[in-house]
Amino acid sequence: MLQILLNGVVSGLLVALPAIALSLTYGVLNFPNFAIGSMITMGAYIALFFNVDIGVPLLLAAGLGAAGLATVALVTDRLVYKPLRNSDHVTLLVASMGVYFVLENVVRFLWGSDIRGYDIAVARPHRWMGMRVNNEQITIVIVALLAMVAVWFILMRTPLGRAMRAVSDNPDLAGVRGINRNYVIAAVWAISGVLAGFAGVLVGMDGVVDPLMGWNYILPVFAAVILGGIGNPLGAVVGALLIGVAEELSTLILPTTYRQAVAFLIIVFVLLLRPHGLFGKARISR
Amino acid sequence: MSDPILTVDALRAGYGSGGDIIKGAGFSVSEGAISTIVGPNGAGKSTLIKSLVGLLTPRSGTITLNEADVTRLNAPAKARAGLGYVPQEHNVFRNMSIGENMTLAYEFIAKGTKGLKAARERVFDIFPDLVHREADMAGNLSGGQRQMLAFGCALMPGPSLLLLDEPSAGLSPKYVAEMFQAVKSVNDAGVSILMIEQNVKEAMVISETAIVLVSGQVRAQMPAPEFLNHPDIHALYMGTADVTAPETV
Ligand SMILES: Nc1ncnc2c1ncn2[C@@H]1O[C@H](COP(=O)(O)OP(=O)(O)OP(=O)(O)O)[C@@H](O)[C@H]1O
Ligand SMILES: [Mg+2]
Repeated sequence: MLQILLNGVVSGLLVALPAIALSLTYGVLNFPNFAIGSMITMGAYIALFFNVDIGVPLLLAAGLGAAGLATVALVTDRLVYKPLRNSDHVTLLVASMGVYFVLENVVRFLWGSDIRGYDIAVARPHRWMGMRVNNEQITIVIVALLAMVAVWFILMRTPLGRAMRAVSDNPDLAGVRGINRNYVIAAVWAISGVLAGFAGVLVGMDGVVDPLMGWNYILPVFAAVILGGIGNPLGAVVGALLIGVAEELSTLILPTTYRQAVAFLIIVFVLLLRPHGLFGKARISR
Repeated sequence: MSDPILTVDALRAGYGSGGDIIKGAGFSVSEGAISTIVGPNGAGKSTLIKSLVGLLTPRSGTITLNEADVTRLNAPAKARAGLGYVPQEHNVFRNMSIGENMTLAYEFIAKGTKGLKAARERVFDIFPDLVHREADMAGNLSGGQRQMLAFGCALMPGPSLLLLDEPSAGLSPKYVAEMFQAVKSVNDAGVSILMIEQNVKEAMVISETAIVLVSGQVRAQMPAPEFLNHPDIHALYMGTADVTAPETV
């Protein structure tokens, strides 16, 4: 049981980073970025390129992957989302679906469709309190927690974070307060690129690197964000952990192929019962 | 009358692809004075102010602030040029504390936090209700307190012209008096003020100039006492009275 809980927390942390990214971009740009799936994939591949093809250590490769993906996110914004800035969210959602497929196919074109893996030494799992814990899981926990603390710090303790919260709460008032929306949008894309990049590497360490790896995360990531309250990045973390644990628990009674269905069911139930998420209240107006 | 701090000429503005709401409005605001815009509901008063602060881009016409053409500047640039603005609604960040709201109101316009403490003290002097409540969430404030916070935030960066959209709307009589007192003392401290008001009588007591906006056009601009003593304010609103043209004020 403890083992299942641990596995659930680890898979929840894997969902948490892209969920934070999705939540941040949703708050500031007002549309759900479907391309988050292929951003995960692309981040994993950029790191793989540096790690396996060039031979840099994985940690550095992951950093390069994150930086590369931040650049990709900024360029995508410039080319695709900026011209559509004042469109409704359905248009933007559809555009992000287009971006999803473009990025996934760029990955296939550049690096092929084979299943690959990072250059990491295989180590025997540690035993801890009767559970099996492998090195990858430890890395995932540490990196995810560090990333979450960093995001929390930026959001709650820096001028940039205040500006991000301001734009997501009330863009007009933020403008009047001297906040340049384009600057905040760029920062949010960069941060979500970094998060998705690290998430890609962690997902690849946990399993394999293949062009569909991000696709499998779209549903749980959306479920986590909806559960935590759309546009509430810290809620998304809790949502992600709950999804991870729920998915692991489901394997006790359901074949693992139905894992994804768990996230889907959670989305449906939350939307029916608590449309503003677990922590959401209907927003006070005025 | 002193030189104008703000001059608006033949301004046209509207929302999205809709028709013009502001249809060639022209008026001026004298430096150091309180000027008050009055007019019926839906006349376009809020829309006019939104186009002055850069939330709506004017379709034509000019806006001159401190002798510089600011017509095409966006909202952050206008704020940095010295325009302060308190919107009619949604005028504080509800999910932030009072302290964060005040810091945020300062740091991006003043480009840093030097002078933040002094600005805070100045605002606390005018709105003692806010003192010692910096950790409270703005969303939990009463309507009157929220209005005070919004006003205080607009003052934080030290604007040269402050635009207030119905500062006394929805306030209890006690707060209405307090609000007008605050407007007066901010003005005494040297900030020029352009406000929209429906509490016309109270507003005119502290105002120097009245600007009458009807259907997106300025029907009249006149000294406040003259407006108060006008035999037929109703006719002024309806645009049927024989009034002084804006140019001759
Ligand atoms: N965001 C908006 N989008 C489209 N039309 C708008 C918007 N805001 C206001 N309008 C329209 O512009 C016109 C003028 O509205 P505005 O709010 O400027 O009037 P007002 O004089 O401030 O009225 P009130 O005294 O009720 O505050 C109205 O017909 C209104 O329907
Ligand atoms: Mg109005």
